[in-house]
Amino acid sequence: MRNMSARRLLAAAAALALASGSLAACSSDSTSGSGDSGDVTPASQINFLSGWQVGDGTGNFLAAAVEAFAKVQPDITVNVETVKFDDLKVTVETESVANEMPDLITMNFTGENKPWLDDGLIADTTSYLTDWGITDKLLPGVTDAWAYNGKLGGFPYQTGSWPMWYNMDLLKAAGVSEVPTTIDALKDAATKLKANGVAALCYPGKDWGGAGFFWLIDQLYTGAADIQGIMQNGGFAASDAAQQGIDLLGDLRDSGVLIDNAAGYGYEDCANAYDQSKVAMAFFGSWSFTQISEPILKVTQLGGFPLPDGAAFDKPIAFATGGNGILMSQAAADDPAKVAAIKAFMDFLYSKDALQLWISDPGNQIAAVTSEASGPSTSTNVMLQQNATLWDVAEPATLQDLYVKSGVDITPEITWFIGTQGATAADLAPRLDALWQD
Amino acid sequence: MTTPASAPTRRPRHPARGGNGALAAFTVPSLVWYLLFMMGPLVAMFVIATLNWGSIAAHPKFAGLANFAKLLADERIGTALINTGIHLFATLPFQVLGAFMIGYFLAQRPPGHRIFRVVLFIPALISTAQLGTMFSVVLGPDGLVNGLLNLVGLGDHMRAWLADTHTALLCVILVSIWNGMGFNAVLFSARLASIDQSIYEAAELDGASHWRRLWFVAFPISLDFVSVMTMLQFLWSLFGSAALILILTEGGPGQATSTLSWLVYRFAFGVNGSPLIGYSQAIGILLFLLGVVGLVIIRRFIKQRY
Repeated sequence: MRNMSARRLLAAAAALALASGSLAACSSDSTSGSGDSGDVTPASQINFLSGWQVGDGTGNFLAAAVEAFAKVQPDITVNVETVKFDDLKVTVETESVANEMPDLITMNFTGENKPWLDDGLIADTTSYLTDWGITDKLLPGVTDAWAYNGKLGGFPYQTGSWPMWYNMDLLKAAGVSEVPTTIDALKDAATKLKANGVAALCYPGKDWGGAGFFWLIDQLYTGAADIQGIMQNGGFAASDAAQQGIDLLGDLRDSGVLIDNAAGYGYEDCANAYDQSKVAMAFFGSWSFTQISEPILKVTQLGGFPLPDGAAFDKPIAFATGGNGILMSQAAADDPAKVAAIKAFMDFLYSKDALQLWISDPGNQIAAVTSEASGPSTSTNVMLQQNATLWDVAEPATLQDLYVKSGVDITPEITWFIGTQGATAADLAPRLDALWQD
Repeated sequence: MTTPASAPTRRPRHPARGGNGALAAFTVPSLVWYLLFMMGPLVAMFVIATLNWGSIAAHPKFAGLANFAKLLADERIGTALINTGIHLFATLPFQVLGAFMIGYFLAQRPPGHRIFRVVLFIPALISTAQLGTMFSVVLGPDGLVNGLLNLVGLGDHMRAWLADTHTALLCVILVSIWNGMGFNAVLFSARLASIDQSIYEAAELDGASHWRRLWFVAFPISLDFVSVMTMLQFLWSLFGSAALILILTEGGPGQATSTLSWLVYRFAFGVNGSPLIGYSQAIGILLFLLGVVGLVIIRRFIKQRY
């Protein structure tokens, strides 16, 4: 991993060196639309709160973009304040209370920040996306992840997936030649893998990864409409289909398909176990494309979660995720000069070359934008290429981020369920339903 | 009748009293600071508990006593009360009485006592974040404990210690004890070292064993200090468990390690968005009242009796 990181660092440095030139070149046409803001003189400063860390693909891209933007728009300075991604929420709320709300913020749009639209912290970007010509460029369905109460919470910039990862070397060594697409095949593969001394499926029962996995498995029988209702209002105890999904997970736990002591594993633990070939199957997001070492990526096949008999889907299922985007503060939206400056910057970020640079690092996943240059099939990264054809073999499931009631966290109950042999849907369903009481 | 030659007509004003007034004036800034920054947050806690407040960036709405009504009906509060009680009653004897025994041992200055002091003090030098991270690894599925069990042929007993309903709270308790007992022992040894050695010698001449000298000589003499330590340890355990729980278990599995202190944090900062700051402070008031009652009880039953 260390050698690989060093290689990536060198690659990133090379990309950065190229970036200034390419972005500066592309910007001559990309900023030409900034005059659409009428006679308003753009503000001289844009304050950008970023969770994209310098040193990885996202942060390096932003640094290069800001530097290149400064060359073509010397009158507008983008001040980037970088904080840990996990600290973004608290930082935004604290700065808003101190009347120092940043103009732009890099974030996912989740239950954590959706209330900011109601509280007037961030702006509805619907009209900006349309008026600035961004909507036409976006991939179909990308804005779904940014919708809340009839508004859009930001500028989508990144999209991704959360599929099953299969280590084909380990599967073949155990005598399994194909990715399992049914639960029976999954169980059979697990038996063979265990006989070969390898754990079958890493379930991150300790943290959010396990909660996400639960939502995927639980909708196998319900289908989209029912699970959306349950995500919003609870109601596991009243849904036979939801309970079937829970019992399926319990069956996988008790029949040894899951790694031993799965309740103690977090997402990162599973990533490490997969990277060390201790486990043959896992459920990772596309944000882990840069996390796993190259030799393991080369033998990895992406796919969906296998279907049981009577499933509500036709193909194995996985999540299509929204990814990061850029939120705009309401304070900035209320200031025409700021809006003009932000428009210039957005024109720049959504230019073809900027997007091409964005996806050149697989850690940035896929741009949320359709353009000749930004198609994932043009990438040389093996995972991005696979990801581009993921939906040929898998069907998108309902992502919980879009529907689960704000404030509900099922993780502790999932940890309990995964760690309690013999626990059934009858045990878990009322415990889960209680979480929607708040 | 005679009239006293020098009957006092008025008690003379104490010359220093005027000076005290002037001196008292100098304490005003401190008092103002104390009222603003110490009493202010306390009052704010009671005010916020009456609000329906989604996040510090949201507009709070007055909710009256709704948060308290919700608190009484919330099963999670009952579970957290029980867990808080278990955590307190399991840790306090070790943190106070166990530490006192070790402190007595150290005060006897046995060979190598300086090294013992350093070793015992080391856990106090580890931050809570480090402590939690360290024990997350030690108690994890591939951690040291399971590794040792596997090594000695007890692989069947390997488990996810922090994610198992039967062991998670026990693990939190043991980590708390590991973290605090040595530090308290060093404090106790400092107090016990100040006891005149001739008292121990007299007791020894009377045939008192170490055990009897510990509990019938040293303990009664140090009872004032024991009382203070018990109060401090009680407050640390009652209010401070959230940090360790956040890192080790996040209150799970289920509600197995959820304490009142954890719930104050959990509702204040929310999960998946949506904090309930007013409700969090209502739980904080319950915690505050428990703290006051606990302190009164400790003061009532542990005090110097001579």
